Amino acid sequence: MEVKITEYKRVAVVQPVGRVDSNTSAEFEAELRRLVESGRTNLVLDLSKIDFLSSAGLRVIVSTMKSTRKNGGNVCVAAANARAAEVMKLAGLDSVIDMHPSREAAVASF
Amino acid sequence: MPVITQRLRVTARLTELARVRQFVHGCALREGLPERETFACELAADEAFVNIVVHAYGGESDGPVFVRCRGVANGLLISFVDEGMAWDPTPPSAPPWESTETEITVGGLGRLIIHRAMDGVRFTRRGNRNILSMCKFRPGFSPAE
Repeated sequence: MEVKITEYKRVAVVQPVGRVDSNTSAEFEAELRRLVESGRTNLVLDLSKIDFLSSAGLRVIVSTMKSTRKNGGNVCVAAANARAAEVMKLAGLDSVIDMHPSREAAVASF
Repeated sequence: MPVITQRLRVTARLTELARVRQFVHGCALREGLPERETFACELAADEAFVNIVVHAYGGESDGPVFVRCRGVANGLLISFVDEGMAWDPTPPSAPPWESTETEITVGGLGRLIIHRAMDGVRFTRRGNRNILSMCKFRPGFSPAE
């Protein structure tokens, strides 16, 4: 798995590429934690290039959402592909996190 | 047409996770399940295997995990058998999003996904073995019919 990060003035866009499962979620979490600890608390997760997302990845997303909200920020999801959207829906996470159809729409929401 | 059961034996190590997923994915495709149902089987297999490693064996070990897939007219039956401690596959009644803790309990979410992704889930303890059986129906099939 690779994590691509694009930083804008008010928002950082994080795009995991590949599989986010129990073997790779720690790497994903480390990148997100680094951003939050450096003060980037408005995050867009671009899930367009994710091949597989399991509960291990969802736990990282939720714990990041909680820590950003605690610091006055938020996390939203952009351009989730069919597989990622299905997992988020199965877990009921689509009703907790804002999901936007595109990266542009997600960035503009902050 | 003869019923074919496909088998895989792995050890309870997360390095085997991709192999388990690929095995179940291949079985579902061979049985002609559509993409969405195939993905559901792959996802449930991932969560089941991780739960076995974490809860049945208490972490990675050389303990065996047997995965079996059997195609039937209405879909695919998948079973996971392990020789670890008995573990509770009962899913939480609701997603753990309401927790005030930053960390979410390992396992509960995976079990919730297993139950929601699959059409049937059954857990039995037989001797020193846990048997987790799951089924995914083909689209359009209803067990009530």
